[in-house]
Amino acid sequence: MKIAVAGGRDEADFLIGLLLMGKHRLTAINGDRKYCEHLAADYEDVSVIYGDPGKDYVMEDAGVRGADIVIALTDRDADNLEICQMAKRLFGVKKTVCTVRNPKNVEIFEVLGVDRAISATYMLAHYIEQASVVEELVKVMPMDNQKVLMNEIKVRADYEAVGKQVMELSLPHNTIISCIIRDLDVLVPNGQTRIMAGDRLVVMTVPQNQQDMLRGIMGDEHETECRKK
Amino acid sequence: MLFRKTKTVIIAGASRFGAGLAGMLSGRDARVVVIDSSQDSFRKLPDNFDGYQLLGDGTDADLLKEAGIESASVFIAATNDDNVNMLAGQIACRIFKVPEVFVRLNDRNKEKLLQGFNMKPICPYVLSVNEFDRLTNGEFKEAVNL
Repeated sequence: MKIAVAGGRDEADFLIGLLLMGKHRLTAINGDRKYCEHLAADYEDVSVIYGDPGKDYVMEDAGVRGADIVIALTDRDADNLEICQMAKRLFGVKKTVCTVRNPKNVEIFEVLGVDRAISATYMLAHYIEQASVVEELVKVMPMDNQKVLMNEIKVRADYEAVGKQVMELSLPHNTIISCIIRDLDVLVPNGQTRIMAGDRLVVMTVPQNQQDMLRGIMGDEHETECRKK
Repeated sequence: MLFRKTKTVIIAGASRFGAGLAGMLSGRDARVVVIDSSQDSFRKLPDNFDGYQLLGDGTDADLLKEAGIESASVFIAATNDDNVNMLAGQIACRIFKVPEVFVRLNDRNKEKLLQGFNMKPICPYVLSVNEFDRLTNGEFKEAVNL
């Protein structure tokens, strides 16, 4: 895929490294001359353009027209929005992604036509919240802006769910056990599947039902204990 | 008039343009709210300004709500930065559906990005060019058209 990365510093460096592993054609556009020199010296397969990515003629020269993805990483939200909108409206770029400083802009930017706005603060805050509220028995991965949580739960022998069939569990709405990891096997359960101690369950749920889901699988005591820690 | 309708006008950015506009509008029976992220900028407001001053980021949705954007009739993005103005203008027009939105732009190329929405660009240099033309009574008009 043809990808252009506009602005950014350390995150741009790291991202370019990652993207290069995926065999993409990369262009980096940056307004900092020193940084451009550094990029050009470090990465052979990247075209580096020195110029303000907020200007349409710079983007035109960088060959952004028809690119598959434009990623805007400058440290000002307004600049990132402008870069993404310009890419989309003037250069017909298929997908635009940017970072935002103000977490409230995540939803606003998506309404304004940026395909994906990512806020480090927003994600970090949720991760920290998840990590502190829920004990390490449960690993949580948020998806689609925290609308869905993927939980990985290790079943201990004294849990409520042990020995029960999936259909017997009292799970809240919008919750599903999507797979069970048992020793080396991965099984997709149905209603009759019996849960055993030592299983690892991958459970999809919405955030508001997470506590109820944990209660259903662990039992009341463990769930409270889990929250206390 | 018994039922005088007072319009709410929000101006983001107390630049020379923003502050001047605020001074002019506050005398004309509108509820004027000026937002700027620097307290110092408010000094540019004229002495007779009787509207509200709000300290903060004019592109922040919560602050705009506090300024009363949900019931505002006019929004003017008047900071010195084009991209900030475009972001503020789009939040006002496309998120909060303010009926009249004006966006100050130094770079006329950026007008393209506002097309198709109910936002009116104001380009100071275009206005200056027109003013020059007016002051010279169109003397150079033919030459320009060549």
